[in-house]
Amino acid sequence: MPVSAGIGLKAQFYQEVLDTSPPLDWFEVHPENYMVEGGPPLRYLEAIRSNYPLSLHGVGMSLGSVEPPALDHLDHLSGLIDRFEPFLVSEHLSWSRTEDAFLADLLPLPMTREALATVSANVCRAQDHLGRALLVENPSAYLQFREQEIPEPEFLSELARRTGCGLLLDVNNLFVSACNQGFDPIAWVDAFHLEAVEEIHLAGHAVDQANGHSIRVDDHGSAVPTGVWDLYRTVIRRRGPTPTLIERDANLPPLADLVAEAQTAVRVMRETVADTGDDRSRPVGTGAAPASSITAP
Amino acid sequence: MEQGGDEGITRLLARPSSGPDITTRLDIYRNNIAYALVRALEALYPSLRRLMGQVFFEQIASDFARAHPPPHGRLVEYGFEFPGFVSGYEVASGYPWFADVARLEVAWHRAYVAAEAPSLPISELGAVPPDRMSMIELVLHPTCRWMQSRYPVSKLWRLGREESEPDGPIEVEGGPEWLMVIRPEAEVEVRTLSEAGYRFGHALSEGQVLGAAWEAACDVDPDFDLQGHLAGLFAGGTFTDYRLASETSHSHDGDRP
Repeated sequence: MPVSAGIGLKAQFYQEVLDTSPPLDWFEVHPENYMVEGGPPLRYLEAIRSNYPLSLHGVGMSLGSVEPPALDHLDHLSGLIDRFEPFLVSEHLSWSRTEDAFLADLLPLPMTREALATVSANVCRAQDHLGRALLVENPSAYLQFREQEIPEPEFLSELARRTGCGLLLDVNNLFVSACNQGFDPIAWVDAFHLEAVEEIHLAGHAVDQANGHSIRVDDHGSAVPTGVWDLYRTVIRRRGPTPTLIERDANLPPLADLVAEAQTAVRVMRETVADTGDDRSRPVGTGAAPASSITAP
Repeated sequence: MEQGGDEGITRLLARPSSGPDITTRLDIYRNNIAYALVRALEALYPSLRRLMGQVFFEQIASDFARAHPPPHGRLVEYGFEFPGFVSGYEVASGYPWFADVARLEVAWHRAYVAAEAPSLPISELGAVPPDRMSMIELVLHPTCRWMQSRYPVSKLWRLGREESEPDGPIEVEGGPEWLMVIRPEAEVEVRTLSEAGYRFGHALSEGQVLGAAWEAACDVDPDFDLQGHLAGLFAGGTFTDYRLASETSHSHDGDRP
């Protein structure tokens, strides 16, 4: 795949992006923020989309619920896909919906054979409805269920094989989960179907203290830390260049800081290609991001 | 989220090999959910948050979120019942205008995200025969909302938005106000109307013909300036279409070049 990097598009950056055309390859948004009939956010997104490729990263589909994805949600998403022609559409391996309420977080599910069948059916329903492949992301986890029949990397890999979905590897989530649950993230990557990974997320997280213990909380509120960059290098070395997103949702810094982090991702990918002499480039079925025009400082 | 009742879920969870216990970890998810909903309400009610103060707003918002979780994952459509919750919130009963500020913010938000539509220029009415003018119905712009309050709600709302310093102290009993909220282009506008102007526009928005709307306005103000008000509403982009009441379709469409 081409070397390319983008950032999450926040409303605070709309005007600056239009005015300054920062050197980024693409932007990503949560489609749920645009599931409205009209208004300035849609106008801005349209204007920015005319200059940059776009990725839609959903947080509301609840693929891990026993119930299939809500049809009105899929219809809203489908409308945005028709309108903005994103090169990637992604969601999470998590659940948020009960019969009568939406729990506004990405909640973990027991990694059982039954859950795999349920999530697979939901991914297939969503992909059929949307007429395109989804990418499914590994969530950050603070807990594990006792009944754990299939380890997470195998669960996601098998999901990709069964449904044809791609995978979104969130390196920060992996780092956070590994620290909180005491597993080896490299072993996790070894067990992961890397060939299906079509996007990578990078972010920062908080280290909180509770009862004398530390726990890492995935708050997207700081710069990508060294440990996450190191794990990213390992992943890129094995997977080759992969469209990479800098996620930042809290404590927003100046836009230039996020552009600099995207440039760092590009530099890591280029160095890795140079080191290994193998860029493992291959076409992406869903319409590839263009090769990066980012000049690393 | 409620504390307690953890035993059921705890039995399903693996005991962590190190680090914090299960309850602490469950609390991270609870906090994430509460945080997301309070942030969604803050985004919808920025003026109310400043008028209430952050601490009080977070308290009432998290109480609301517990009582009224969102029914779906589109948080841009969440929290429209908050004004009613605020008006019934005992601790806020000394501030009865809080709920109206919240209602104005809902109207503002709905105008902000409503469908786009081109406004009709008043010159289009030139095709209506003068003797039929009182029988036209006007189609309201999809972003348009009407609101009345016994409080000076737009002044309080602007104070919370920090858009302009008030000329002097705001007398909270210094209402009432009649308002129109609309977004003909990119910017949402909150316009203060006279009571007659409000009744006129509101009657039109409910599908009454021009003659009936004029009568509704004259009930309040016998000297109501029909031409001036109609021109003002058109200049503000209030309407997208018109039709003659006796006919069912957009009869003027065929008359356009």
